[in-house]
Amino acid sequence: MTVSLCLLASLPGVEWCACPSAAQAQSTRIVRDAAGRAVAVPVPVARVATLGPVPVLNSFILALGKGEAIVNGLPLFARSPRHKYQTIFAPTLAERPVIQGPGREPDLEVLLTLRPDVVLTMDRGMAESLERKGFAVLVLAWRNPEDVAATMLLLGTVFDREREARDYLDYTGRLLARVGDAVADVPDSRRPTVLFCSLKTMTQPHLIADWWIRQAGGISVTENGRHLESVLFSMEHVLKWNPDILIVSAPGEIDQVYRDTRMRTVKAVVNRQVYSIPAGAHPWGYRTVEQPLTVLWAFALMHPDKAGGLNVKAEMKTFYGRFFQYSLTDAQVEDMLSGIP
Amino acid sequence: MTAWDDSRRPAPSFVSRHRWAWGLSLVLAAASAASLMVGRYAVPPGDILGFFMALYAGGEGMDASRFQELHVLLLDVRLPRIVAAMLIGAALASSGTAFQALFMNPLVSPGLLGVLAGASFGAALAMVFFDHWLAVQVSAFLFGLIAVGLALGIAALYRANSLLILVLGGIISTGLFASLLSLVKFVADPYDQLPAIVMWLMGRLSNVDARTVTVLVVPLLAGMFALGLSAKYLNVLSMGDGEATALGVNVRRIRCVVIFWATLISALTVVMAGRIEWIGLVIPHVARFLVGPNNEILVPFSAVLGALFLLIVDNIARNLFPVEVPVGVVTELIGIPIFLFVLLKTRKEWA
Repeated sequence: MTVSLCLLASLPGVEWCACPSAAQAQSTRIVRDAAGRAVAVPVPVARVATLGPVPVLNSFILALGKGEAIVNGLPLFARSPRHKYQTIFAPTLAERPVIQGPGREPDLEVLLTLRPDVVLTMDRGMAESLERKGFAVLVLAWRNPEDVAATMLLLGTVFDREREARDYLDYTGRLLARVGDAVADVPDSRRPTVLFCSLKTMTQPHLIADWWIRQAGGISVTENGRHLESVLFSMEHVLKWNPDILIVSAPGEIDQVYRDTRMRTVKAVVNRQVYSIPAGAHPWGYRTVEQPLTVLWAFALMHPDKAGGLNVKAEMKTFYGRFFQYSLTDAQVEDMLSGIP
Repeated sequence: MTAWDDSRRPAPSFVSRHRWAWGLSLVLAAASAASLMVGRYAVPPGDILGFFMALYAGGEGMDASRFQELHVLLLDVRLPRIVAAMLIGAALASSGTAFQALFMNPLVSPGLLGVLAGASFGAALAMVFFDHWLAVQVSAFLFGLIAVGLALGIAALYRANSLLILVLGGIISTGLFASLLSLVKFVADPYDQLPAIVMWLMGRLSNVDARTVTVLVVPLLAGMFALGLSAKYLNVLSMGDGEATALGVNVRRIRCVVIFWATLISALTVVMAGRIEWIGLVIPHVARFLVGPNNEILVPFSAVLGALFLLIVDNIARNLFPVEVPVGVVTELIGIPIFLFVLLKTRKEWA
């Protein structure tokens, strides 16, 4: 795509172009995606398609209040109770066509019909393939907490929602600082040991969990300087770690833990400290835009005596109202906190 | 020289005939005792000894909380895993040996007629649609049997009592269930169900529990015993169908018995620990290299060798790396070089 005039924007990695593209006679701006590629995207972006891990990609857009801009529906795997808040936050998703097959391959004909201004994906190969077919495609990636902030800023620029993106970052920073201050003086001996895991796979599935457990004032038993995304463990590891708190990936696994005689001596089981990770637009234990709430929830769980003015339920209503532009009911708050199968 | 030729000599005693298997069983017993001593949860050997003495004394002689702690660790976690590793290794090795003899082909493994493919599909299907551990195990077992039933059905369509047609049926059945497995993986939730399926297909002993082992130990031992009893007939079958029939052996019945029991125990290994490959192919070769081709000696020896092999591999998988590694992966990494070594040593026979 040819761009003749570009103005540097205030954000690093973003260039503005006040000229129409040769092909579409529409203003474009150049942004740099997570793969370091300079991509020309139209201004404004009114239609966006998400490809690959659709629910988590959608959650960023939903947090910018642009759910109606998503032109594709949820893929087959996400049409389950686990992802029900996607369509609660953006009801139009239920009627949109599916643009990817079970193997995440895009249905090009449907995608062409939808005429997205920009396509979001986490797969660079797919992005380059689609670009050769004329689509503007952004690669998004996040591994560390700061990557989530960079993604919000990038999407804030793309959707002309920079103020909202910065508001989100400010909010996140303030919330994390409040939790950080509250646990700063807690000695290691009073920090609970925590295992976040999926019993189905016997794994701690996400490196990020070590981070949010630490932020919330706990000690993740799987944090050992590893670089592997997930850690496979055995029942013997659980006995060795003997965590104070066990956080499982689905509510059904709580009962499974309590019924498993092999875990009957584990402190978390003895003290009835087994919980399911909450889930909203996306399960909170994963890398998600809802991560500040994960930290707050885990903090309230681990240090109820220090929670003070931080109220998880009230903060959830504030968070989803302010960023997702959705007023949660009390029942929905409870539903999210109980975890979703 | 086959065992059939040997039959004209005075028969050696049972103990003498199986001296290799007995000897290896002693090694297996020592290895299993040693395995009980090692793990992520460090316990001094003296404490383990003290625990078993206290267990014998009805819990007396040890602090109650320490006794409870070691009871969970040793009897609920470590012991079932050790027993499962030995049972699975023995089952896969003995069924592989029996299949290689039955099909007179050294490249045959227990999965030949589709049991592993069927069981894998069954497990994956239940993970996606039922999400209950018991359903996963039952479905894996049933579809393992269905897959072999399909292979036999295809062979029956041709009305030919031919091993070649049976192998063809196995290839078709394996292909069909492999495709169906791919289909299930396609529709599985990539956040939750797909990783569970992938882990299952890698083979793992990290979550084996005492209840599963208790339920499956009897059919697994029965199946291995039945294959052991069939071994002398497998020797006869190795001379060809015509010779075997002339010697009064009911070839069809022997085939059915061997296929039934080999299928049953192979499916049960998948129920217990997912899909563990290579043991059924490699161990029979190593065993044949060590004790010769007489199936009467080979089948029980393979079983003990398979048990020892998977026990050692599982010890490596659970202790050697900073994190747990799926035992199926380690089995392949170790089994393949051993297979190559045995092939090199026996290459003249193969040429």
